[in-house]
Amino acid sequence: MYRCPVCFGRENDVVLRRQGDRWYCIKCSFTGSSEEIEGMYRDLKKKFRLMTTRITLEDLEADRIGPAGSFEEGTA
Amino acid sequence: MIVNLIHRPAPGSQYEMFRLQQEMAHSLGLKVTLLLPYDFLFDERTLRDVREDHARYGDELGLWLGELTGGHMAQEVESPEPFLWLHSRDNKEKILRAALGKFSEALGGPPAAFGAYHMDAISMELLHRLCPTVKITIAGCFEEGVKVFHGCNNSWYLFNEGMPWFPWYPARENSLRPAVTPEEWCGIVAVPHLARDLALSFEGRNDFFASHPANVQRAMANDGATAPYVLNLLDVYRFQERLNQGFSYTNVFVGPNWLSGSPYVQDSDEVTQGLYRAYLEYFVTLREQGKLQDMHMSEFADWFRSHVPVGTPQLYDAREILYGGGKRYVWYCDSDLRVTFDLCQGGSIGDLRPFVARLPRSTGADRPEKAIGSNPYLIQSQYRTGNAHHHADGARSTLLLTHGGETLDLADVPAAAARVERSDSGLVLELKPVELRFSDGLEVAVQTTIRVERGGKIRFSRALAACSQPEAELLATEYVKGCWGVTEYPEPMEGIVLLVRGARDTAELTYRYGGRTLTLPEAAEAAAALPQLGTTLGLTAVAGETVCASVDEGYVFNPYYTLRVQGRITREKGMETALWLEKNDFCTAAPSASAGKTT
Repeated sequence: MYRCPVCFGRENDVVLRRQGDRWYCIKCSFTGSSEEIEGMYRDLKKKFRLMTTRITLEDLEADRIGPAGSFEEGTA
Repeated sequence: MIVNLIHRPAPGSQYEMFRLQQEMAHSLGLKVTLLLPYDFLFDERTLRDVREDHARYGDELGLWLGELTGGHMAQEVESPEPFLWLHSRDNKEKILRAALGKFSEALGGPPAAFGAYHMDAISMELLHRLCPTVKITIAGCFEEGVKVFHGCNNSWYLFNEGMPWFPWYPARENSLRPAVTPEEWCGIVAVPHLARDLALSFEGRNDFFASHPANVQRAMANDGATAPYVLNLLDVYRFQERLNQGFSYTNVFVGPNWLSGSPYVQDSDEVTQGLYRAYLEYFVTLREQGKLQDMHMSEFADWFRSHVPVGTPQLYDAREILYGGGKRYVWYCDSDLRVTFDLCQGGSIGDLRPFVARLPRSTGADRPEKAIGSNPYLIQSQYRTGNAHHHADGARSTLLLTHGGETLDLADVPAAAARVERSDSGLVLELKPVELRFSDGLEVAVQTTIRVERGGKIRFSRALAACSQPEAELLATEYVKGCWGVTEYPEPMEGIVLLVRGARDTAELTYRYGGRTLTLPEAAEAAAALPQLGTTLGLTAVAGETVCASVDEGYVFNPYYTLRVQGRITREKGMETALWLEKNDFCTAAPSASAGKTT
């Protein structure tokens, strides 16, 4: 099952319906293949720049979260 | 940190997921509170399993009325309404009597722990009266409301905005407001449903960013089995111990439906179940290091009552840890107000909820509020525009500095915190100096210290930490633009009294969307008295050279009121202004669904 990547981009969970090898959304006008949907998911995740970064209590105490995405582990 | 790990059974094939969750917790030696939905009190297999879990592992057994699943309860009350807190008072009582009676019959005694996504004041009162053994309940979902309503395709009617984020002592008349005194407390300790991200739940959906690994998958904030965010968020909660006298709390309550086949999770079941286990393992790691205690819910209630007095303020320093944009929000909540400072906008108030009027508030079919349990706001910059970026600005606060006919807005400049501390009276938030440059070349660095004090007061101290022309004198305007509401849409403003007050004179007007302004030279105070909330919001100069005070009435396309206090500041002479909240005697409005003024 997939959620509509366009609606998900607006933080709305809408489960897509299938027609043959295409998926379509009942909330918006999106249609796409599985490959297109998964590619759009990957794009949506790009906003989470710290998605794979572990930030510990020690990082927080040392204020190692900089502005404008400058966080780097072990650096101020 | 203290954690409550909570499980509940689910029907059909999801029952296996419930048993998997139990097996994980037991193999890790974690204390579990089992909250049983009503229908499962009729199910012999469930009762056999949970009795065994209780006997063998010491699991606490409690009652869950988050959903009244199945037909048993619908037949009892002749209503398909799925949630306790949305029923009429009579039905709430019938439901609680039936569920508590069945629990005692099935398990040999009444519960000490209880849970529902929301417990409104009427449900709390009934629960305490009908079952005095209940010490603790899950009672609300922090900042769940408009954004989740939208996110669930406008179909999820749970509105709990404006509530505390840590455990609290609910007031008798309004369960989402902390009680002022032990006498005003409803008698049951409340915990939120999950620990939410106080940065991202303010900006977005609280059910994406919480102490719930599968919620994080729902947000797509993981890369398969690589999902550190949920651990990072736990550490942000631990980070709050320094502001809360060593106390921090979380709970985990993941329904079995999330562990297999959820349409909202695009990872494999193996990944999902692995993330759940890894989360529990982190608790064990912290416990082994002496940094975390796992407790049963009722055990935590006892701990809370003996360690945290009624009326203790909650503080939270919210660091944004997923986008990596450096945003930071500082939160404060006590019995008189809840306030959020947005450092990205120069330390402006992003959210302000007044509690001083102690208005009753409950949800239900027989209540004017219906599903809207949220505490009304005076400022909500996410829903009500905040800093201007389209037509005009909306609800927010800021400092405006004027020099040479040019006005600069502190909210246009991201600020950094120099100090976030708990004080005897509340919170101290000191910002690092913010640099502003006027077009004629004058450069100033504005130093701001914000103090939140008990009794509904917020003090803003402004000073020039640096000035490129030492003799320069600037006009400083402390500015508060407010409204009121519970959702993102404007509410009626008629009847609000706007006033300016000086040593000798007072002027006022009554709101009728006329776009009028009142200015009083040398006046030091501007205020808005809202009959809708029985609350007055005021702004008073308390130190410095005051020039004037003014108020603006809004109009339909700009449905706000604006309070201003102006003074002169120099390198030597700063300005201090108090924003204050008071209960007023204007409580003459007709009953209002949004305000909750019904009794």
